[in-house]
Amino acid sequence: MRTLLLFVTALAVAACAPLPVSRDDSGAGAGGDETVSGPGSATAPGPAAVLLAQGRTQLAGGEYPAAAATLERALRIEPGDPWLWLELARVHHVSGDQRQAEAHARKAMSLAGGDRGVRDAAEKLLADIRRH
Amino acid sequence: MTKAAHKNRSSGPLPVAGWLAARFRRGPKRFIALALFAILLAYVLVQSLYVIIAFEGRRWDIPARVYAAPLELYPGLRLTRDELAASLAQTGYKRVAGVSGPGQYRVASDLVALRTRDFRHWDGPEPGQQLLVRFEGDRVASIRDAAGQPVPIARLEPVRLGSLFAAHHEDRILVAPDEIPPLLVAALKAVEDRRFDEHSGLDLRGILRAAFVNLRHREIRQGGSTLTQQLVKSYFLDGRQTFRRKFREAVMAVALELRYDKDELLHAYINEIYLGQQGARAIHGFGLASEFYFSRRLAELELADIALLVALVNGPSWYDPRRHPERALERRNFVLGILVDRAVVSPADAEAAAARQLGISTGSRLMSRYQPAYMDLVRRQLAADYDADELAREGLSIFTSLDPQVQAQAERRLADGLLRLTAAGRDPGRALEGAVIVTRYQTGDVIAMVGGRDVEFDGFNRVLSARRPAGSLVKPVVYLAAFETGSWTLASRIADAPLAIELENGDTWSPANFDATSHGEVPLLRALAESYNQATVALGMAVGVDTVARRLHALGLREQPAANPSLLLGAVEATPFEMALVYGSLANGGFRVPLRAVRSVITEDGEPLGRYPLELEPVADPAAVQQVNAALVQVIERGTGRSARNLLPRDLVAAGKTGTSSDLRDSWFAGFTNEHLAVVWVGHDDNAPAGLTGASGALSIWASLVGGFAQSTSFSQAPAAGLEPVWLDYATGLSTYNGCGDAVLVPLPADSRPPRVTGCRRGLKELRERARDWLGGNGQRQ
Repeated sequence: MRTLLLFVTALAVAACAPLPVSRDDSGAGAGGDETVSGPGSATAPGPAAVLLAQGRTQLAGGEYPAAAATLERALRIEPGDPWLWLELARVHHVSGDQRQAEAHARKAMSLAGGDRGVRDAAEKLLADIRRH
Repeated sequence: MTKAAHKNRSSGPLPVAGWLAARFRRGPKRFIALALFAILLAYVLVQSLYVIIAFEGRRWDIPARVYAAPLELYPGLRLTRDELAASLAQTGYKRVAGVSGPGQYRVASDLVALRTRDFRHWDGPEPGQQLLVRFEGDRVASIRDAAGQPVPIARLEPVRLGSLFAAHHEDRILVAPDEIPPLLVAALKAVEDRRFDEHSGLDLRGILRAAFVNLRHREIRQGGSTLTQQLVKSYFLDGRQTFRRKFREAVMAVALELRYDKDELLHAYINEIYLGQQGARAIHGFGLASEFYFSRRLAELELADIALLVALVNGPSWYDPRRHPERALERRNFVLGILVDRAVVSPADAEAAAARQLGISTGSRLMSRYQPAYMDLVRRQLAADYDADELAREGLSIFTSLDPQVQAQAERRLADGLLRLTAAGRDPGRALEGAVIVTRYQTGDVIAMVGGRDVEFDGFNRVLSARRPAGSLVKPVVYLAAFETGSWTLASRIADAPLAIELENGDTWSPANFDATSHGEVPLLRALAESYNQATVALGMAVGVDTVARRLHALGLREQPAANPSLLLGAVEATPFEMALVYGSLANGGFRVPLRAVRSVITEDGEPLGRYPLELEPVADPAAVQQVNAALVQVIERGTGRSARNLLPRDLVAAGKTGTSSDLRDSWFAGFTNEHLAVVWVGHDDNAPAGLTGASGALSIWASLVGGFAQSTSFSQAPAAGLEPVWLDYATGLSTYNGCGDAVLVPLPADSRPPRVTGCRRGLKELRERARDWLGGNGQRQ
């Protein structure tokens, strides 16, 4: 029963629009009773989303180690969020470590479940990595 | 001197000797006085020059400071009010009725108010702020700042674990001049050197007064040394009380006074002076002493605390507040009395302070208790990039992943478990040993480590150094190798039957099952969940022992084991750390993530130095790994690990594997949830049989530990490409429906079509589940 619910959440994720910042997707990695949007946090962006945004800003500013550190911080909170892994893959890609970039993109893919947005983004990044 | 000697040699000794002899004859007494004066002058000049040069180039050795992981607070975090309060207390926060400064917190019905301290993390400073944390049930509901604005995430300053000090064991935390409480300065002057601001290094009146007081009381009540002399003594000289040394100290003190101003000397004194001892670690300076005795920063200390530290100057071991609390209290209150006499504090304040207890942080609360096993890993990880001297001197800050709460739980669970298992075991007179490592495998963070029964023992660390037969812990890798060929799935059946394997040396090997019976044709799902030996050996021989050996190395064993058939049942020695890597590769869906204790390092000035980034290496086929993991879930639901079920929260899905070596010498359990992975080993150091299986020994420790992690959630895996969920009959491996017999939902390759079970009627409920399965599976195939 528990395991079944996992597959059901995969469906729920698939139904979501690929909006990584506001989406609460830790449910994809949790048992059925794990609704994470805790009381009082319904409107505010979650901690991982805040850190993802910060990591993106750092990446855009060329602060690669800082961006990677911020995204790792986010991953400690939401290790099952494929968008975080994908962003970390981008950091590696831009900073020149194509091996880690590819591994992280694959990891994102492996967590994507039915999320087509992640899959497409990961595929695109993998194609970019291969062109390097 | 050498120059003169040189000159003498070149021009011959005779002219100078003649001149000296002539002078001596003219006035022997005057000559001797002059000569003595010249020697003295030379001595004073040399000593002065020496002390000034040494002081000018002074650089305290500041051992690298090692920090635990910071607590990240955010809405939705599973953390209770009391857990936060405990965590704050451990970080040296003071519980107060109203928060007025950094490092304080207040607890109310459903909230904690606190003021965090400034802290420089690897990625920059985190300024201290006022936070109002509200709780609902076992979660953080909201966090607001002083202005009432919601705070999405707040990072507290981490607990300091200790220092990587060098051979001479001098440990200190430097404080800057502006971090020194004025009260400390005033108290030091009042008690130790009341004419500090006037004298020039020596205080003759002070010496006479001290002599008088000591004579009158017939004991050493006062020392006549000035602060400057004490500084010189501590910094340059050994502890011998000889006249020559006293004289040298006086000369050096005067020289320092001539060259430096009072503030500089006082600042040096505050960072230099010896204030305590913990084993081989010497506590130097008021900055470290404040943390060592109170778990708080110097700037946060109050009158009573400062009075105690000043009291310690006179004799840190005689007045050691942990060993001799009465003496320390008496001396502290004596100091308070002096402060009143010298009008440093008001009588009322002193009286209030004197009424207080010593307020020394206790062992359980003191996180600066040394963590030998974890520090061992920290040292090993840093050794590749930093030399010992750099770590002992340069004042680096080292940020690690240690989770103080999990570490405390791991220590307690192992200690309790070993006591219980020893008492119930084969030889109750002989204490069992054990080891625990806990990781957050997805990011490769080692968050807790216990190297043995004696947590404080700084020596043999079993997590890193005990190489023990891994037993059945290797079995999942046999199944992984089989699934990776594509010819086997969880539903494939194999004979669990007696077999005879011809070995290279001509012997025949006939492994038996633990329960000494064979179970006939069984699906791989059940063979792994029940840890059947004969089925596993048959499978491993079909796949190839050398393939299994290669996979073990790829997943985490440091060396590739020899490809003997007995490897299939775990005849390979591995450390708990290596097994954490192997199981981490499984938990991570086929990605090997190197384990790290250290995340990053910054310099004394806060400049980022090194970072140990998260790394991933794909080492196994994700689809094959997911099948293995599905069987590992069944280990706990139905197999050899099912006794864990009672110790885990009812809803928590976990995956794991028992391990037992031959003759019950080693008892292992390795397992993981969605966040945490833990490996537990129990046995005897000398390989004597422990009389425990994995299930009867290590498992109970593992389950009580992992079951207590508030932040652990159920293990799950989004189905890998090419897999779809199928209900299997656990006993036969035939495809079935939910609710029909003992049905287990597992991921199987989409092209595998296990035969259907017969004689089971599909109900409406099953149809509904099927529809959901189909939709879910369909979703992931898109």
